[in-house]
Amino acid sequence: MTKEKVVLATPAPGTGLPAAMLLCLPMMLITLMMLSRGNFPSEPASMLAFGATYFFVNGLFLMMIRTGNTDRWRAILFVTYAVCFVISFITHLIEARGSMALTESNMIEGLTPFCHVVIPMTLIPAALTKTIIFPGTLLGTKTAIASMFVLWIGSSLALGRGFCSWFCFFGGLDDGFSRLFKTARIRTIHPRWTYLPFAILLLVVLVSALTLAPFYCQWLCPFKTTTEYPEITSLKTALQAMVFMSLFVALVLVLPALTRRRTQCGLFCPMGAFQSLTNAINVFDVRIDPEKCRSCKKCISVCPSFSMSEDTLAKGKSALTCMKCGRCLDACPEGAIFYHLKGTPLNPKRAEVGRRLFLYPAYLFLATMAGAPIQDAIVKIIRLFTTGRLI
Amino acid sequence: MRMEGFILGLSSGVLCAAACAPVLIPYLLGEGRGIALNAWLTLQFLAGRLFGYLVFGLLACAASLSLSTRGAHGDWIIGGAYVFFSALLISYGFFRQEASRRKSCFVNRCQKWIPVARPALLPCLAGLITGLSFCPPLMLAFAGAAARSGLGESLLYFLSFFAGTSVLFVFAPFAGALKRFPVARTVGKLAAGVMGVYYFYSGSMMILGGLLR
Amino acid sequence: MNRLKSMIGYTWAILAVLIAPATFLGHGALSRTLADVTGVTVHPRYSGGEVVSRIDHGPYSTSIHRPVFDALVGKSKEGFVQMTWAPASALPEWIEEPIDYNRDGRVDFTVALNTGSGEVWLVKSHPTVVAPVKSYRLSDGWAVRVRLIRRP
Repeated sequence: MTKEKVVLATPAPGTGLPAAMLLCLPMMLITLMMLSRGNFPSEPASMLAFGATYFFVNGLFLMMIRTGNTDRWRAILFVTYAVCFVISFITHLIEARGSMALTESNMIEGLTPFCHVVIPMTLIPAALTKTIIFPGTLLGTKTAIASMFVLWIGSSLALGRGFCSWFCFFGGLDDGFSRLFKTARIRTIHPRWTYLPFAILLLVVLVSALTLAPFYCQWLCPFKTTTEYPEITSLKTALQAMVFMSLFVALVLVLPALTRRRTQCGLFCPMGAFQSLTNAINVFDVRIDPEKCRSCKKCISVCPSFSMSEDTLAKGKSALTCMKCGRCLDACPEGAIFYHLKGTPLNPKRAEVGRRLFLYPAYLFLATMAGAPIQDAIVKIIRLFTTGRLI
Repeated sequence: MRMEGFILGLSSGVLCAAACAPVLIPYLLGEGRGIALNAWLTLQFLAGRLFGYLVFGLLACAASLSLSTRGAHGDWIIGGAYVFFSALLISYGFFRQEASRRKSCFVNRCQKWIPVARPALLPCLAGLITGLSFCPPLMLAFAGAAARSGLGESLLYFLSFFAGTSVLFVFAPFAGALKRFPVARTVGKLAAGVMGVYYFYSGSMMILGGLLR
Repeated sequence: MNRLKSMIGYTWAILAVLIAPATFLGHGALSRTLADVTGVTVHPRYSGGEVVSRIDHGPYSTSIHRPVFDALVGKSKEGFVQMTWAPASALPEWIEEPIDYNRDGRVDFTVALNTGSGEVWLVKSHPTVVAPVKSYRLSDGWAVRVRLIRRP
């Protein structure tokens, strides 16, 4: 069996440095406002963290504009964001509660941070009972239920399933592991498995509604391993912890590394399946220029979400599950794949306009979401080196 | 808990709809007499299925009575049945994508038969026949109903299972809505497989409970 | 028509650029608006339900929440009632308290709680009371949930 090496294609015609800088200026101004939230830090470690994050974020955007590559630079920030999120979240939990374990007392006090993956499970009970089936608080914190709903609505309106590659704080983990090896060890995955997230979505939505408990969080979420998990007090909670860890190892560490795909996002995550539905109404999509396409199928082999197939190539657009990460755009040797605005004429010559119009909102979401955890993680790492303590 | 039967039914609902649709939908399309008549025919079909399920409920009750005298052994037997049938369901849902074609000889027979003969209450008979197919979700429901005590509980379990499996039939009168049938079938099979994993866990816990007792 | 579609496409794309900062900057106000408009609350299974009576014991007080039987549709057969004692600093080591959860003027059960160990005892005086579910040490007090069944 031949192993395919993924080589980045020649980028789209680059933009000169002055023009690229000019195009980055709006991003530099907005991220300055977003990352500082109006208060520039005065403590040295925080100042250093702020400066480093600001230049890192804007440097990557500059490269994105200048080189014409999207995924290459997006992935660096996305993976860094996920790693820093884990560091920041766990240390916060330990500072606040003394442990990553979530006790029943924490739950009845509404101290469980709400995560976007719960959203589909809450919709039927919310419609029928006007209540949210989650042991969190509605308002008042950044991880409160209403806050996460607002972020989800905003990002879904702007990006559709681009949410999974430009917003989600978990996605960077399997994205990172999917880049661990240069070649894929497992190359063929039966297409029927790509429907599994929809099956899981169907089940978790129904079971959660009927049991009035977020079933996915209780039994299936691999990311409990890197955030918080129910305190182990019984055989049941021990089993739950085992399930979380097994799924994490299989879907976030091993399979992405072996397949070079985002297996958790593409083959398991019910939120991903749910977000696919938002792609249907979102303005941005990924199209293939049939005149340029040589059917080399490189896009099929690199697509992390299994959204490119011979069928989609024939149709000239990616599947509904597309995460708009841009990996296929970067990989296409002919530059035949491009971001497109629905309703506008298919003009590959204006592809860069569509790309930039997508990149501004997408990167703003990513930069703003990533900013706080990256700064926090840097501060904590500085603390670790200077005082020997992370917490 | 009756909810359990309903959830199992719901999770298998897409699968049941997928299994029954080849019988029901061509019939409805063939009749083509509008939504109201289609709804009436669907109701007849569902009544047939309900009758089939209640027969299973009675059998499950008989099994339950013979198990109730066996104490902890009853847990092992029911737990074992859960594990066995859920393993079948997992295999059916995840790995044997062609299984339904082989399994549903009843369905194939009905499919050939229905366009030729259309006597009154034929949909009812077709429903009964498809309801009596020995598919893994139904077998799992059988094990679940056998774990209840008494005739009423077993029948209620099958009734709730029936209700769960019938939710999608609400759409049957609008037959055109099931055009994307192959995708629904794939998703339904996978959902049933995931549900099988849950039942595998439940069965294992029952066996463990029986061993520790 | 094509021109109109094209205009809508570009408008939405530009709106998307505005949505991004607006989502973060208007985050607090939007969250409050969303909660107000939808009128949703946290399900009482998690929050314990609204407090319906408060018994003042001087240094500390007992809050009795409404019995929770809320199901997806209608009421479920089993439920619970939650009692909360606060503040933690003023709680005696041993609390023993008769509770009238359905407010019919008669004691339904007497609950006893060891605030050191969290052990809980229950004396039932009403057929709908089943057993204590568990005691929970809160950030500023203790809570106990007692399992109930609904009267047929």
